[in-house]
Amino acid sequence: MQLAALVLFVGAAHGAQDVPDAEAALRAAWAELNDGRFVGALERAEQVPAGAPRCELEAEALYLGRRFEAARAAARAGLAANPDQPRLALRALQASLWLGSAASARNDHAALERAVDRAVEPEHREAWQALGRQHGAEIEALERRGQSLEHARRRVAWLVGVLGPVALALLGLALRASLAGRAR
Amino acid sequence: MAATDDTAAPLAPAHERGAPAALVLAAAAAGGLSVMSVELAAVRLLAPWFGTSQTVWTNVIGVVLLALATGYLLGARLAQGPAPARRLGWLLTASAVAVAFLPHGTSALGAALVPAELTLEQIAGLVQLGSLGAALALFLVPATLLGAAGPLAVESLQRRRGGHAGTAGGHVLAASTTASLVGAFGTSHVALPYLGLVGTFAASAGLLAAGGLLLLLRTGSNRAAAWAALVTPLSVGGALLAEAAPTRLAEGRRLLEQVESPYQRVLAVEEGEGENLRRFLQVNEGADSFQSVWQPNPGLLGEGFYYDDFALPAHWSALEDPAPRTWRVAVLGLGAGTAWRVIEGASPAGFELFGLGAEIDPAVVELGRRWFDLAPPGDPRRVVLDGVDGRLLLRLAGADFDLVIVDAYANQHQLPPHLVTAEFFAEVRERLAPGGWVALNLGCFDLDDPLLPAVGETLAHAFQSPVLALAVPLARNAVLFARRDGPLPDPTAAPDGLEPGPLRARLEKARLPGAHRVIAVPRAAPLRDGFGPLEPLERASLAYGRRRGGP
Repeated sequence: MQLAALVLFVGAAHGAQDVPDAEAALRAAWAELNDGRFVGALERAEQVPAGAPRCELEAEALYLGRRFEAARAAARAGLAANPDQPRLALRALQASLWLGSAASARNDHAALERAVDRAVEPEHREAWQALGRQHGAEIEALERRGQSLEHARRRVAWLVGVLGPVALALLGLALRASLAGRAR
Repeated sequence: MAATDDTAAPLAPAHERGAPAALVLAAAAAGGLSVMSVELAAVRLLAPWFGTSQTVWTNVIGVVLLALATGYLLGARLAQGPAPARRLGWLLTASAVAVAFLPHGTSALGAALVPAELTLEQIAGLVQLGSLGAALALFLVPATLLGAAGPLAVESLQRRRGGHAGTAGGHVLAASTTASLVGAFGTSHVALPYLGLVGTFAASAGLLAAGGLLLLLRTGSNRAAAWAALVTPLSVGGALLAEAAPTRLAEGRRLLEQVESPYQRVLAVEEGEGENLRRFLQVNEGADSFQSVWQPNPGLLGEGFYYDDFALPAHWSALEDPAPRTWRVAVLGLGAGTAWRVIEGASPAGFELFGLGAEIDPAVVELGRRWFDLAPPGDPRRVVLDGVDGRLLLRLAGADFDLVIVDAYANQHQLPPHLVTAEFFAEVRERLAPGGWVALNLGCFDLDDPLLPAVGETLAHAFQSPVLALAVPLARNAVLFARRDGPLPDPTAAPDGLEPGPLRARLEKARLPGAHRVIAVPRAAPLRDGFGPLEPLERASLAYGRRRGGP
């Protein structure tokens, strides 16, 4: 019992020492990111314990570094642990938009709306919602484009599917008519 | 006593002899000329929506051949009836109407099959079947009618003159094929440049209608001739009324000028105001792509423009030796000169640019000089060779270059096959000074795109040294770098040697995982002259692009 208490005490003391180190690493990482040193920021982030702050930094570094798939993955990993993080949801949504994935962006948009409703103070909510609406319009444009493409594909398939056999049938009919005429 | 030919067919009775032989041969020639003219112009007609790739050519030629075969059989059947010359007259008249309709039909069909809001890679995915469908819808009827003309002409000739079917057939084929030769050269070098696309179809329609009218006049049917006389001006006029593919511009863009070149439709468009003014050169349907960019001041264009990466080799070289020098740059696929303009404004201090550029389309150079500040003729520091293929330029150029840029694309998104082979890259290497660079713009979705390793390994094999590929942020491009007798930069190293600024920021982004790739020298080059599965690779690339993004 005394040994267990000793272990717990030492563990707690070590954890308490970690927090300032983690905060310092986080600050240093953000400083690197603000200087445009994305790799440096990610390396510093490795010294930060896993959690929303680290995910937010990683998502931000990867997004600004234009690695959108990785940025989205980092943002979603953060959201999985902490769904009420509007900045993470925003980066996931924006990355999905850059990747041109309407379905993915829809899911991320829903996550953003939930996070804003739950975690943003009322005085800031309108700004976030306006951003959400703007991105919502971009999602709709993506979806429309997807539908246009689908319609175009169907039209092409119909055209080739009908006219191709018709052309071959005409060839066959002409051959038959030509041979029938000669037989007479 | 003279020998008699028992195998020759006798003359037909006088009332069945139809039109004079010369007129029948002229009609056959009109048909032959029109078939070739329509076939060549057909691809240009489809180009605004589908481009002019090998796939499109194959589909158009295939459909025309199928239709001609059907027409030959139809003509064989029609030739068995009375008055083949009169039937030929009607056939040519009907052909005239069908040909005159083509420019009208294409615009509507193109807009339905290729909606305006699609991106370039979405359009590329529709090209193969879309162009086949369009070719079937548009060219099946006119080509069938024109195909039927041949057998009717042979029958008319034989009934007129008697003799052997082979003799009549040979004469008709000779007339038709000679006229096809005239049609081929005439369409490419005269009709399309001087009459335009719509004028070319109108001319073909007029020729066919005139041939039909003359035959109907000589074969005695005045009412028929009257109808044909009406059709002639209507078909020509109707064709001329067609608007050849209305120009579709992205929102916010203004059209400055549009030119139809022998290769493509070329547009100069503009957006923004003042310091944010930008001009773009687009070809054919454009979609969301462009061939050249201009801004008021030379220099870097910013994120999303791969041209900025062409400025990197000078800075890498300056890190090794900052001494002032003339930086000799050859650009294959010069366009309107964007690469020069970026390098000019973003080179290290003391680096003075000498440029030699090849652009295959003179219309692009023309627009480039008018709207994109491309160097005028005679500028000794910026030598532009228009109408010249990039590979030929390399063979002609006597100089050694510090940088050769390969930025040649056909139909917006297709690599010219002869500019991505091991033999070509070996020629590039021979034209580089020791330590010289090649920079190749590759349209691809990211560095895992199947197209990238094929081209990269081919380049690495030719140079016998690794290739560095950098994904261009916010663009569907990567730029591949290789170097003659010199080390490549380490893409993971911090670019501390560069001054703080956009290029350093660019290289910071390039350090991230997935933003760079070093391609090792392979045992064999995937792409060679005479063997290079480029089209399957491009299809694989498009399929990869569609799968990207994901849930």
